[in-house]
Amino acid sequence: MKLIQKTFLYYLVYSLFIFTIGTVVFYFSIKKVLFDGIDEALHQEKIQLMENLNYEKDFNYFEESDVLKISKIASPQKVKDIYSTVSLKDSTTLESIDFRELHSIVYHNGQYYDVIIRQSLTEAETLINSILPIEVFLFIGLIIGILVINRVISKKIWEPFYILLNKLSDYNPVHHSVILSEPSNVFEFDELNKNIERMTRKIHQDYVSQKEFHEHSSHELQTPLAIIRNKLELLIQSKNLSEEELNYVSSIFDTIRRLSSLNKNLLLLSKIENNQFIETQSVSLDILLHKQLNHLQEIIHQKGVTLYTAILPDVVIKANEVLIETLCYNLLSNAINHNIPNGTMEVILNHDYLKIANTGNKSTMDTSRLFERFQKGDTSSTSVGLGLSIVKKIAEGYKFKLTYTINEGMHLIRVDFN
Amino acid sequence: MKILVIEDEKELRQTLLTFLLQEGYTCETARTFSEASEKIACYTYDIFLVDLMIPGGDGMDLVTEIKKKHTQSGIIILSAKNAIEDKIKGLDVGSDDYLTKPFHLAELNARIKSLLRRRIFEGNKDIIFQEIRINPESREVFVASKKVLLTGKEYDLLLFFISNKGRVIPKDSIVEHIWGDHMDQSDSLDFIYTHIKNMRKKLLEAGANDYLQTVYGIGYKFQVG
Repeated sequence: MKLIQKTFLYYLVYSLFIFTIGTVVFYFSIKKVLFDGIDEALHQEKIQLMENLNYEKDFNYFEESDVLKISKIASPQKVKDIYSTVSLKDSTTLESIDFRELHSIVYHNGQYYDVIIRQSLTEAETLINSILPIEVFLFIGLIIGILVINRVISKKIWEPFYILLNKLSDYNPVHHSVILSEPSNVFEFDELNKNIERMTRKIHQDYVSQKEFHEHSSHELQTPLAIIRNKLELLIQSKNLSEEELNYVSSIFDTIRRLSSLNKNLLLLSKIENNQFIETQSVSLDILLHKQLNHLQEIIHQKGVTLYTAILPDVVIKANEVLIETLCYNLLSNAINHNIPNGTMEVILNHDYLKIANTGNKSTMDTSRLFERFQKGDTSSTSVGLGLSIVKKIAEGYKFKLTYTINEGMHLIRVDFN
Repeated sequence: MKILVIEDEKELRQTLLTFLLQEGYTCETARTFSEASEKIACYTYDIFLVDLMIPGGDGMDLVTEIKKKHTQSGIIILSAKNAIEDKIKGLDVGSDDYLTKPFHLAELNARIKSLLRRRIFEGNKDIIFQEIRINPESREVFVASKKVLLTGKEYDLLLFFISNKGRVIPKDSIVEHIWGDHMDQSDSLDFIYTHIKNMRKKLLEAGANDYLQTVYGIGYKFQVG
């Protein structure tokens, strides 16, 4: 829900509450004021009647009507005046009309009279009944007013905020350096803009320095690695090494191999992140896959893996050749390295997707984290766990859809081209 | 054969020096741009090994300088940068080869030998090791004038072994030389065994002696006796 809608909802609930209570209170107070007035009039009329009696001898002089009834009574039960509202049928139209009535006992010339004086309520009721429509009309008018004002506010006053919001949702430290603050005439927005500018500047700086650190550390690692490697190569030329010493050397060689492979992959990742592979060519995926499978055949053969391929010819995509080679190679070598002895492997390529499936052990790792850095299926593996995150980075760059599924011991990775 | 090593990193420079002296080359070193520049101006070398990042200047400028003064010499760039643009640029300004750190000494050795063959013998000289003779131009192998039919990979293996004769060659150096960059990330390197076994068998069948020794856990050594 938008901010403006939310505030509007609160306004709406509050005004609905006030208007309901207000209408009820207004209704009853108006009614009371009106009835008091009418009752006062009735009372005056009675006094007038009594004064008139001083000139007249008898009540008989008065004609009976709907509004004045006089009858003789023997003795009074009560002497108090009683005001009430009654509904009477009109003798001609037969509609019922409300009257305010004063019921009084009057004593005159030794005779008690029952006097009823009435006044029609039609006018008063019309007035009271017009309260509700007026209130409803006012309420609607208020709501429309608030809506219009809100719209104007959201358009004019909140405009800098929404502009900033748009910029923020587009913000990416890779492509944008900083969101510059734009002056608005609202203090809060100016503060917000200033802070956002400060923060994005910091984010970008951090990103750049992290990127540089990443790149430099990988580069700086190359030379020490070269030294260890080369010294070791000199060492193994010695004829006096025992089998135990050779074992140590061999494991150092393996470790260096892992370390330089890790370093190489980190460098590649940072290069992809730095967009250093921008030039694109037409890459024939089918030819590339055949070449790589041919290249890998020794390892496939040595692991006893049976390979099934269904590679359509002339599958050409526009991309950077180095990146696509890396993507395919990582997926293929992944399918081989994580295969079981005498397992199978399938490579399927058509114009829409590349699908690589392999038999493998039940994975204990969280499949949703498969493409993250340093995620390894089994810790004993010599792989460094960067292959698939490189694949993911490359796929992201070309907006390829990457899916991983595991079904009856078959691990399947599918790359959908667009 | 005289080689100038231009490298600022002390340990790496000494390693290269030791290695090249072991291989029987005459070797000199330079640590900085100015030192290298001076040596390039005053002396002649057959091969220059140039580190691109040295104090006092850009290694690329040295390559240009060498190219002007010593047209007959070979140049191999050693760099920590594995960027294709750098490789292309390096080859453009006149270097013959480009090795990325960390490199294998056996690989450097093979590159130097191949460069020397191309530069000095223009590729026409046969490589002879005991009764084995290799013609690098036609990629043919003979054992005492009898032709041995080797596959491409087996031929590369034999040439690599002979270039590094008498040295223990680690398995991963062999893998990287024959299969290239990617393969060294493979879990196991045992797949090279089949190729080495076949190459050895073919040489033995052709009547050559067995020069190949397995160095336990590490790699192989090709030598007499």
